This record gives sequence, structure tokens and C-alpha cells, in this order.
Amino acid sequence: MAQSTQQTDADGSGLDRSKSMTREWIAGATFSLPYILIAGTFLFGPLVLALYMSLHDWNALAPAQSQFIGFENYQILLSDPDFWNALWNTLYFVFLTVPPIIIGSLLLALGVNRDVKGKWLLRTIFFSPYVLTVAVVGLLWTELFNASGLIPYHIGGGNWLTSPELAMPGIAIATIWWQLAFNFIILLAARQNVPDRLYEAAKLDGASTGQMMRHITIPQMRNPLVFVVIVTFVNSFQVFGQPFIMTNGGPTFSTTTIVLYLYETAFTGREFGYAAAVGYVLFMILIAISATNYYFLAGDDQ
Amino acid sequence: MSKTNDAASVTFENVRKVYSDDFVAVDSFDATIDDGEFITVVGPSGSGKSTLLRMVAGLEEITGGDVRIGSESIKGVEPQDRGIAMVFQNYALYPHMTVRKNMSYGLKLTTELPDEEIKQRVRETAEMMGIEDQLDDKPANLSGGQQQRVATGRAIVRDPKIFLMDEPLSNLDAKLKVHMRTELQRLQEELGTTTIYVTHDQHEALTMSDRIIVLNEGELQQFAPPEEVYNEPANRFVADFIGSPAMNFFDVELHGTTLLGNGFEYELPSAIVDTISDTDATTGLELGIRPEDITYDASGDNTITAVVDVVEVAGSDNFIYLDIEGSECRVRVSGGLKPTVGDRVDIAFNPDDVHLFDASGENLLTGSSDTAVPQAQTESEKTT
Repeated sequence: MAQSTQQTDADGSGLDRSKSMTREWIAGATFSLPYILIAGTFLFGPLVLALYMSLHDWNALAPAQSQFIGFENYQILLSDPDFWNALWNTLYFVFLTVPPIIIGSLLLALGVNRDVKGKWLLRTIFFSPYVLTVAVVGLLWTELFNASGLIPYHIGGGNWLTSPELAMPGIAIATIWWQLAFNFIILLAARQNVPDRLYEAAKLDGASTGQMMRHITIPQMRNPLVFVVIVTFVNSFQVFGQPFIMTNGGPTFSTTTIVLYLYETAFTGREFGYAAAVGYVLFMILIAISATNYYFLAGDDQ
Repeated sequence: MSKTNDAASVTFENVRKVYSDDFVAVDSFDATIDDGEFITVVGPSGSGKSTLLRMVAGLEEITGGDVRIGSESIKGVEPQDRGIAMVFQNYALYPHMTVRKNMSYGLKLTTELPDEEIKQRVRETAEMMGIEDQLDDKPANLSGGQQQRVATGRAIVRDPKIFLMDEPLSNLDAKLKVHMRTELQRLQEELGTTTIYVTHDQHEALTMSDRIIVLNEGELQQFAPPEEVYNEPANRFVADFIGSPAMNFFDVELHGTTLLGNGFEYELPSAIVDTISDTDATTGLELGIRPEDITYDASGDNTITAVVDVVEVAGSDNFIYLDIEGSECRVRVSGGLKPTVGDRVDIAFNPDDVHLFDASGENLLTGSSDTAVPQAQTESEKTT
């Protein structure tokens, strides 16, 4: 092929081009190799394995003896009241956490961006919860929600985490407090990236504060906002640590979320194949949610 | 927005701007810009020229004094109600909006015009600016020149009484800059809209404007037509700032009619000496002479001997750097003249081209030491 290229291109530039393209391909492949290896081992590998497991009555001790059962796990799942309970609990948790986290972090970011005194201190305070691990957050809020804790003392309701009505809102409040910080930092950076001159131009064009917000700030922050919305949805759908530590799914399974249910099925019930099917259903839900968000929020020029 | 005769004049009255950190950006600024004039404001960085413009725009508060558009003070008037439109240095186009939306945004917010008419006006302006094919593009897909045209079009479509331009050409390459310069001039002449144009580029100031405001450290240095600023600079700052290469300066003393410098003597005609405004000033003076006013290789009386130090070839002209007993003297000569470094040469200049500054920088030979406002008024009387 190189020969023919050389013949058609009298100056031989075709040959050089194909050579340089090969070189470029090798360089590209070399640079992406570490990612491909790591993602292959820890992401795509398990993904394929989980799909494989979900189609079997999996024997954890002797995988070779696992029985292929096709979509049976998925069929059982659809009529499993515990799975539906976990799904509804998760949706409830998503509903309780996603809007406050996104709106709250946006308001905090816009607020701190203004010329307020002690900006630096506020930024630090708002960000600090995020450095805590889920265990610390869980234990801290378990104390706060305890019957003798600060929150029942001021608001009432006894021990929130043992009340079927208040346990999930309690977990949601802890999560909002914890997760707000990450989005806040991203949105603050995004807001600071919007050039002042756009606001000056808008001011001369006669835009009010609200119009600047709608026509300049939000469109200019759209990409980070889409990112924040998708990440928050994914995080909330995958909630595990908080209910695991604070309520262990109780009382009466009122805080058992999908991942918690998956965990219990797999490691308490030893139903690995079934748990893999639960995981796959969650995976499909997350893909659908992310795609929907992206479709509606990202707009035409993305 | 119909224009009455003097509706679009701009009057600055003792204007002062102090920032929160006590930095005085503009101080005691007085000037009257007439309806339809093209005014450039020049000065070095930090001279307060942009601040001045931003006060007119309503982007900065006026700390003291008053600014009037027509006969109405703009203090307390919202920017969109001042009848101004601004072209920003970086254009400040809305990146997420198409060119059409960029241009129509202000009209939609501030006027009651029906959509159809707004569309029509945007189309007409786009045609005038030669960007009618780009109306549905986003700014990021346009070249620098096209973005500049959109920014200008966005200002024009508002049909303002006054255009404010903050270094609108500084982001363009040299060739496009020259092209856009003439285009802006042509537009301004066609539209007849009062324009205040801020630049640090003296070429733009000299070529484009009816009158130039020279600012330094927040204070007005001179407000006069380009030729006057160039030929009769009010003070040493203006003389040094305007002109490229810059004017030559030599420390001199005046003894009778003789200027005594380091390594040279220069005889002034008594007619000129008589016009010196401050007769007591004899020492600590500076003689100023422009590089193009010097005759290279002169003969006769009243010449100065110098040594060629550097020859700079600039194409049509060459610049020769001479050494006069340790002082540098720049001379502009024709492109064909290329002397050898180290040559000794006699130079001369016409006494009429000489500028003489006292120790405080005041030009002693312009006939008047208080400069800006009286000149500005006589000039406006001439034009009306």
C-alpha cells in the first residue's frame, strides 16, 4: 500500500503521512494503555463477569459448578416484593436528596461568589464535611438523631432513625450535609469562570439580576451543572454506606436501598447470581437516568 | 430615540473617581464633547481612560462632579436608559447565543419593538457590518474580525446617542486593525453618532478622531484636534507620549537667545524667544524636537555635531540614533540613507519646530499654559 501511495504522490508526502499516522496510532495506544488495563481489570471485567453471574445460579465456593438459568434471576426479581421495596426506598431517597443538593449547592456557590466578607472562611466551612468518610458522617448523625441527641431535642420526633417515617429523611439530611460540599466547589469554580464582562454587557443591554441569572449565569454554567446533576443522581441511586451504618436498612426495611439489598442478598444470603441481577437492573436504571438528564440538560451544541 | 441638536453632547464637570482602596483614578476632569464628534481618549495604562468611559457607561459610580448627556445628568440613571452602547475590548459577546441573539438581546429587553421590527433591524445592521451570513453562528465559530463586527453591530443596532468603545481593535492583528480602523471611521461618519473611543494606541488616536483627550494619572493633559496635539503639545508628557519614534529631549539653559545644552548650542530667533510665556524660566529647561523635524547632514550655521550610533532600517524610512555628547538623538531619514556607525555628522532643525518645556513640563512656546478647556471651546466654536 505504501508503494502505491508513493507512486501516486510524486513528492512522497503520502508515504510520510501514512508513516506519521502509524506513529500517531502507536503513541495514542501507548498513552491509553494504562487506563485500558486498569479499567479493563476493575470496571469492564467485573461488568462482564456480573452479567455472566446474573445468568447463573451462582455457586460462590465452586463457580465451575454454577448452573446456567438464563433470565430466571431477573424474572424472580420482578416479582420480589423486597426488591420493589428497596427500589421505592431508593427513589424516595433520590427525591429527598437530589433537588436539595443541587439547588443548595448552586445557591451557596452563587452566594459565596458575591463580595461577601469572610468568603475564604465560608468556602472552607462549606467544603469541610466532604473530607469526612461515610463512617464518620454516619456515626456523627446517628448521635445527632439519637433520642437524647440534638435534633430530637430541638425538633422532636424521638429517635429519628428508629422511626419508619423519619429514618429515611434523617439519612437524607446527613447525606445532603455531606454531599453538598463537592457540588458547591464545582459550581463555585464554574461561576468564577463566567467572565465579568458578560455581566457588564448584559447590564448595558438592560438585563435585570434575574435575567442575568437566566440568560448568562445558568447557560454559562450549563456543562458543570449537567455534570453535577448526573453525578448527584448516580451517587444517590447508589446510596449504601449511610443506611448501612445508621439504620442497617431498618426499621422494618424502611431504609433498605437497592445497593444495601444487593449487599445483603450477596453476602448474607449468598445469592451471588441474584445479587448480580439486582446490580444489573440498577446499572440499567442509572444509564437511563444519565442519558435522560444529558438529553434534556445538555442542549444542542454539546 | 430621536436626536435633537445637542442631545448627544457629553459634558464632564469636575469629574472625580476614587476606588474603595483610595486610588484616585480620575481627578478634576472637565471636557465637553460635541454632538457627532469622534473623540479618542489616549493615555498609558492606568491613566484612567477606561474608568472615564465606564463612568459614562454606568459600569462605575461617579465619585464626584457630574457627567451630562445633552443637558441631563446621568447620575442615578440606569445604564440602559442613558442612550449609550458600548463595544468592549474583548467584545463580551454572549458565547451561548447566536449572533442574531447577541444583537437583538438589548433591543428585546429595553424596547417595546415588535419581534418583526427587531429582526428587521438586526438584519439591516448585519448587512451594514457584512455579517449577514453569520447571523445563526455562535461567536466561537467566528474569526476575530467577525467577532469585532458583531460587537460593533450589537452597539449600532441599539441606535444609541453615544458609542463607547473600549480599545475595540486591540485584539486584532496589525493588518486587520488598520482595515477595521477605516471601517469604524466610515461607519461613524455615516451614522454621525457621538463616539468616545478609548485606546492606548496613538496611531488610532491620531488617525481616527476629531479631537483627542490625553490623560495621564487621571488628569487631563490636553484636549485638542490631532494636529494640535501633535504640533503644539500642551506639556512634556503629551509631547513624549504622542509621536513615534518619540520626540527627542535635551536638557538646556536659555542664555539670551541661545539654548545651551550638553555639547551643543542652538540659537533661537528673538521673535520666538519673545513668545516664551514665562520669561523667568531660564534654567532646567528641556528642548524638544521631533525625529522627522531634524535635517540630517546639514550645513551652515546653527548646526549640531553628532556621531552615528545605531541605524535602524524600517523600510520606507530609516531611524538613525545619534550620540550628542552622551545624549541620544533620534532622526528619521528616507529609506535610502544608511550611514556607517561612527560617522560624524552635522544636524540642524527649524526653530519653528522647536518645543521648549520648563521644569514642570509646561510647554513654554504654545502661547498659553492653561490648555485643555479653552482650546476645546475654541475648536468647537470653529466646527459649529
